[in-house]
Amino acid sequence: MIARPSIIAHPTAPELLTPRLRLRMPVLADFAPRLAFYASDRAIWEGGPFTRREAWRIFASEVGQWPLLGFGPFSMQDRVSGDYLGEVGIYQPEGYPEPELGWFVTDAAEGRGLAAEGARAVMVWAAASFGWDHIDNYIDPGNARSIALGLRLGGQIVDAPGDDPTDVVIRHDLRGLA
Amino acid sequence: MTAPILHTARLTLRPPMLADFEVWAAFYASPRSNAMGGPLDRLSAWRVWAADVALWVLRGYGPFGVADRASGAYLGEVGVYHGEGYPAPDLGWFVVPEAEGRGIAREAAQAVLGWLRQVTGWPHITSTIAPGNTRSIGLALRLGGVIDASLPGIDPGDVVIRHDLRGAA
Repeated sequence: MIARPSIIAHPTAPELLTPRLRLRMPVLADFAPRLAFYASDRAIWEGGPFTRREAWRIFASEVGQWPLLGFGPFSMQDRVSGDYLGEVGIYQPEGYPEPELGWFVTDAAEGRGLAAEGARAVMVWAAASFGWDHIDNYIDPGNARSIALGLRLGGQIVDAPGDDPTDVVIRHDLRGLA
Repeated sequence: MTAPILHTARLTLRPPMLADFEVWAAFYASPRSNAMGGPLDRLSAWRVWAADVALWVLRGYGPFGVADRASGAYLGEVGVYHGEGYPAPDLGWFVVPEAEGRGIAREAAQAVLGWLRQVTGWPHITSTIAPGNTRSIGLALRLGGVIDASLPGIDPGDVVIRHDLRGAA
């Protein structure tokens, strides 16, 4: 098992840079693209579509993980233009057995490897910050795109608990990353 | 931004922390939460509570955890709430059953009103309360608020009470 940090060293997200991305603390304006996703059929793998109020509670409660748990979502923006591209980070709402690695990209940003680039940066950061030896994705078995990305990142499907009993759990080895 | 620390005669107002959630999970599991959209399971309660904590980061204001100044015991929450569907920032409060009837919410809310007078330029703040919640309506009026039917509520039938923030801090 990997555990939540006992001391909150990161009450807000640090800035992480990759060749194409700036990963940063979410801000209020990021809710609009998250709402568009949660209100759409794309959210079916997350239990949606959701109402505006439900989408706010999901988005904001994940942002609230930073002061409460010391980890959470990073917003991804284009390093040059500043355009919002999506979110990647570590999620642990009630019911998750461990902190989980997750990602989301906007429609416009799909198919460019941005989620993979952001996820790699978050894994390196998590390994260095918390000393975790692994982190898992919990993915709906119908979400073939996310499963493929989890495997492309080097993850392996394991028989471990997820959020839902039917979840595909993909484990990433973090040893040697930090 | 996170909540500053405020002190009153009996209370410390400080940022919400993870341990506070157990009190909220128990509250939302009980019929006491009926007036606040409950009962809710733990995941739904987490999403409501943690989303409010995130207001500090997202909007620069939010809820304070209220603790006994001497013992540190958690007594409840008071602060500025602004979830989806709220027309404006709203002053709200909650105390644990053991802290009821001691003027704790009033003392904490007065401290928050003083803080808002110091740090915001807002002319007023509302308390939006379900019409059946006579205890909270009574407290809002005791704090000096006035019912203002011209201001929008959150749900139909809400009582909207306006607290003036101009004047002495």
